[in-house]
Amino acid sequence: MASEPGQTVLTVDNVTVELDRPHESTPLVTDVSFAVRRGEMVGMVGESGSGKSLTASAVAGLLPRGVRLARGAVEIDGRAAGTDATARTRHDGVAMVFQNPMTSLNPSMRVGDQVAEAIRLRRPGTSRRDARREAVEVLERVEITRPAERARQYPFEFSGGMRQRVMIAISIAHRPSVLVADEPTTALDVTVQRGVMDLLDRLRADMGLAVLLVSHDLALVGERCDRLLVMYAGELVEQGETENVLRRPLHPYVRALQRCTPEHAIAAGGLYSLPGRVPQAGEVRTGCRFAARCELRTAECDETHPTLDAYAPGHLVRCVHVGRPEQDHHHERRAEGGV
Amino acid sequence: MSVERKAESDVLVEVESVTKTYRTGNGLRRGTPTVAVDGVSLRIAQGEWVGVVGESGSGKSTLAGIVCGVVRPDSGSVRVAGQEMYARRGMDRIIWKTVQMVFQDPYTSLNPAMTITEIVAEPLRLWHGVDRREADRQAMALLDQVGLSSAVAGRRPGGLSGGQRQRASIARALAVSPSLIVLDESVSALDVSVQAQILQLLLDLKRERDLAYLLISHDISVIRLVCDRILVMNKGEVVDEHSAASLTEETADHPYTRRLLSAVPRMTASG
Repeated sequence: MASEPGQTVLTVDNVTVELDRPHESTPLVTDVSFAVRRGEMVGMVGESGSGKSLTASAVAGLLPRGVRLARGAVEIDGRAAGTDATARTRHDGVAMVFQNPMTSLNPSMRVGDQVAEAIRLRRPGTSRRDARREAVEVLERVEITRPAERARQYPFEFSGGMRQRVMIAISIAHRPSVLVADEPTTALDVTVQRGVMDLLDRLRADMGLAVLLVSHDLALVGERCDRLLVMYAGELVEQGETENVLRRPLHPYVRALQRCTPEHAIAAGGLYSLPGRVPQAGEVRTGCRFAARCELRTAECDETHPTLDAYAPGHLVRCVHVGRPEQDHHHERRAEGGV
Repeated sequence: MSVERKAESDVLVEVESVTKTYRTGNGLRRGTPTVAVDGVSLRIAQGEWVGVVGESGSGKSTLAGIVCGVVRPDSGSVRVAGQEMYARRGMDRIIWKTVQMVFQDPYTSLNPAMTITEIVAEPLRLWHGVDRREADRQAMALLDQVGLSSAVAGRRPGGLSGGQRQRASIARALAVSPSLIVLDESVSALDVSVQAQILQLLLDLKRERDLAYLLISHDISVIRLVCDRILVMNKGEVVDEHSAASLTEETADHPYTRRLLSAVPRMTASG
C-alpha cells in the first residue's frame, strides 16, 4: 500500500450497528467515529458489553450474522470497505487477529500452508511453490525461529504465543494497511504478551502497519498505544492521546476504571469498586448512559444525552460535567491522594 | 526472603515435597513425561492468605489440584488439619469438608440446570445434614453475604453475569464452612470493574471470617493486593517466596520474580 507516513489509512464514520430484526431497532454500537493513521496504534478499551469487539468486527468487515450496519461507513486506504462477513469480497487493506489463536487456526493444516493459503487467496496468480516460499519469509518476519522447519508443523506443536505469531503472519501476509487486533494477548502470560506486543510495535515501525488494539486492559493499552478510544454501552465516551486520557482523564468512567485496578488499590491503600454493570442492549435509557454508575450524577445527566465534544484539541469527551467545578475539585482530591 | 510465619501450631495445610508428573501419550506411544510439580513444599496457617503466581505451565494449577484433593501427587504428602489427604487409595471426599475450590471459569463451574439457591443449598444438605428449608434459608443468607440479591437467587446460572456467577461460586464454597478455600484464577476472566468487586468481596471475607486461602493467579498485582505471602512458581518449582506487602520490582531478589514483575504493563506510558 503506497501510503505516506502519518496519512490516515482508516476512517470510521458514524458507525451504528443494530440487531438485525425487521421491525425494531436495538442499537449495539451508536455513532462511533474515529480515524487511524499509518503506523499508529490506537487502543479501544471498555468493559465486556461496551461494543468494542463489534466495532472492531465492523472495521475488519466481519460483522457476524444477526447484526447489521444501520448507518455510517468504514473507509480503508481511501476506499469504502464492507462491514459484513457475508460479503463476497473483503477489503484487502485490513486484517484481523482474534483472542484465541487455537480456535482461529486450522488444526489439521500445516502452519506454512495456512500462511500460503492467505497469500494465494489475495493474489490468485501465485503458484503454490512461490506462496510456500513467501510463507516462510512471513513466518520469519513475525520472529518465528527456524521458520522453514516450523512451517511444516501443525498448530498443536506451537505454544500459545507462537500460535498468535502465526495468526499475525497470516493476517500480514498480504501486507494490509490496517490490523485489527481483538484482545490478542488476553489469553497469554505477561512475559509472552510482551513478546507479541513488541512484535506488533516492530511491524508498525517496519511496514507502517496501523493497529487498532481492542483490549479491556487499561495498563496494556496505556503502555503501547498512541491514542485511546474509550467505549461505554455502545458509544465512545472519551478519546485522545494516551498520555492525556490516562494522566488527565476527563470522563468519570475512565477515572473509575483506573481506580478499579489492583495496581491502583496497592498504591492507594484501598480498593475502589465501580458499582453496577454496563447496561445491555435495549436497557439504554435517555440521558447519559453511564449516569446510573456515576458519582457525579445530577438531574441533568438523567435528562440530556451528552455529546462527544472536544475539551482540548484531539481530546474528546462525552460528559456534561467536564470543566465544571465538581470535576476540578475531584482532580485536586485525586492529586492529594497521591495518584 | 524475610517472611513472617504464624506459629507452627496454627499450621492448617502442610504440603511436603510433592511431585506430579503427567504422561502425554496416545495409547500407542508413551510420550514424554512432563514434570508439572517438582518437590514443592508449602505451609498455610489458619487464616492466612497465600498466593501462587507463575506463567502458564509453571504447575500452579496442578499444585492447586493437589491441595484440593483432586490431583493425587506421585510422591510427597499433603496434610490438612492434621489429616493425611492421600492416605487411602480412593479419593477421600471427607477432605472436601475442609477444602473447597472456586474455579476460573464461572460459565462452566456451576450446574446450569439448578437455581442459584439450589446450588448453594446443596452442600449444606449434603455436608451438614440440614433439611431443605433450613438449607434454603442459610443459602439465602450466604448469597446476601456475597452481595447477591434475592432476585438473583431464583435464577439459573445462565441468567447471571460473570461476576454474579463468581459470587455464587464463592457462596457455594463458603456453604461447606471449609477451613481453606482454593481460588484458581477466580478473578482472571472478569472485567476490571467486576474483578474489583470480587476482590472487594474477598477482602471483606478476609476481615469477617477466619479462613485460609490459596489464591492462584498469573496476575501478580491481584495477589499482592489480597494475599499475605506470595510463592513464585517456575517450571514446577517454587523459586521465590515473599511477603506480599513489600514485593516490588526493586525488592524482589529472585531474577525470575523481577522478570515477571517487569513484564506487567504499567498504567502510564512514561512511568
